[in-house]
Amino acid sequence: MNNKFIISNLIRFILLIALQVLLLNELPFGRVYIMVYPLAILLLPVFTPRLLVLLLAFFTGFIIDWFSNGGGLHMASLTALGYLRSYVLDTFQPRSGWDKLDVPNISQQGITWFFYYSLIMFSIHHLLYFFLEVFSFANFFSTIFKTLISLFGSLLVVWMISLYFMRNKRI
Amino acid sequence: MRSIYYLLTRFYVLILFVLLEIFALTTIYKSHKYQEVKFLNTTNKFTGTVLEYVNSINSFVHLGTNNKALVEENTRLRKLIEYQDKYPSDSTLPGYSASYHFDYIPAKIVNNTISKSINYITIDKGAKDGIVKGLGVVSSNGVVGIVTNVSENFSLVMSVVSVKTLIGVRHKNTNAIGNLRWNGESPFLLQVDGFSKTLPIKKNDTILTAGFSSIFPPNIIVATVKNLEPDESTSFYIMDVELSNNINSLSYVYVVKNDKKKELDSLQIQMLNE
Repeated sequence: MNNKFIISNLIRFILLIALQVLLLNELPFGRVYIMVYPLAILLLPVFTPRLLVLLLAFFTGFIIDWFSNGGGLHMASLTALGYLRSYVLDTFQPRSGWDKLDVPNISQQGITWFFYYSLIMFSIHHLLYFFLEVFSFANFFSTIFKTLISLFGSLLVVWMISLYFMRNKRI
Repeated sequence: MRSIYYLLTRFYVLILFVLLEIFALTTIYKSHKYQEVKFLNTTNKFTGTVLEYVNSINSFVHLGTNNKALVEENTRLRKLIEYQDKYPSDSTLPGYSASYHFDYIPAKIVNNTISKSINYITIDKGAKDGIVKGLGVVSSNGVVGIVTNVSENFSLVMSVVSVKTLIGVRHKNTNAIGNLRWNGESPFLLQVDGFSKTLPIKKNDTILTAGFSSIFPPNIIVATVKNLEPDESTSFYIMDVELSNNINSLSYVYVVKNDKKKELDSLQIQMLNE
């Protein structure tokens, strides 16, 4: 069980990074920048050690930056997300508390739960990313607008991926 | 001692988080300050090669538009050759005039973005092809950007679609001088400031490079005027322009090398010092 967990998580990391770097970074959508790679951090098992989550977030951000001339933007925003994940999971825990083998994904926790969880997590990540990108609060509303349209695009792709894999599991 | 140990075991995640975040923020700060991505960029061999492979698909998609642009450029050059043969003593022609000393190095685009506030383009020519930092990059019908990083085999070009862009431009009909900038909003509309309200500027007018800097050759088409209205509070126009080349679908570009750049720059520095 443990080995299977590790391998499936590793494959998910690699696939999401590849999807981001090879396809989504190349899309000519102008102001909309679709970022899907935080999903890899979102879907780690609930009881992954916090230190490991933090380090994984850091290195994922590092690789994305490396491939997209990010200059540390992805690294900073994803590390912060990795740190905040456990607090978000605490507030979102089910009434009976988290179980040892729980995974915060759509198949186990349901569509509504995952909707709110991904909305909160991706909002944190996108806000950090876009405000760090302009590096100031000047043009506040233009940055907010950019964040919102990119957030919408990212979440659309994330939910499509999640729903697709949920359906597969039930069959 | 025991309390330090206690603190470390209790807060090691927080401490590590703060350290990693400081590292990341320093990197961001440096890339903002020096206008270049010092490390973590796509000019190294691994990312460059991977992106080069991926981009072969992208360039295939835009094959039609790129062919058309190249044919148009060819036609223009053929006309120029014919003109040159007809009037061999015209002093404005390349080869005769003293103002032409630009060399062009062809390069292929490996990676290109337009969705960020500072956009970078990776090209497949580097230090071993004679590219150095600060050279201008043009396409067959417009300007593309300025080289900011050079590695052995690849270079990074800061695209004109970047908030730090500042290129001297000239209005074709009136010869007025202005600056090309980008406000970070739509990547298809750039802004030009410095054109006085008294000038007869209309929509669809052409904007050319001014050629005062040693980076871009003069009289390269940059953009056409899209929206314009007089600014109430100043004596200038507020102007949106559309780039003449579609930055997004470019596949091939030329790096402009000015063999008199050093001389010109040192002269200007000398002037500033006096």
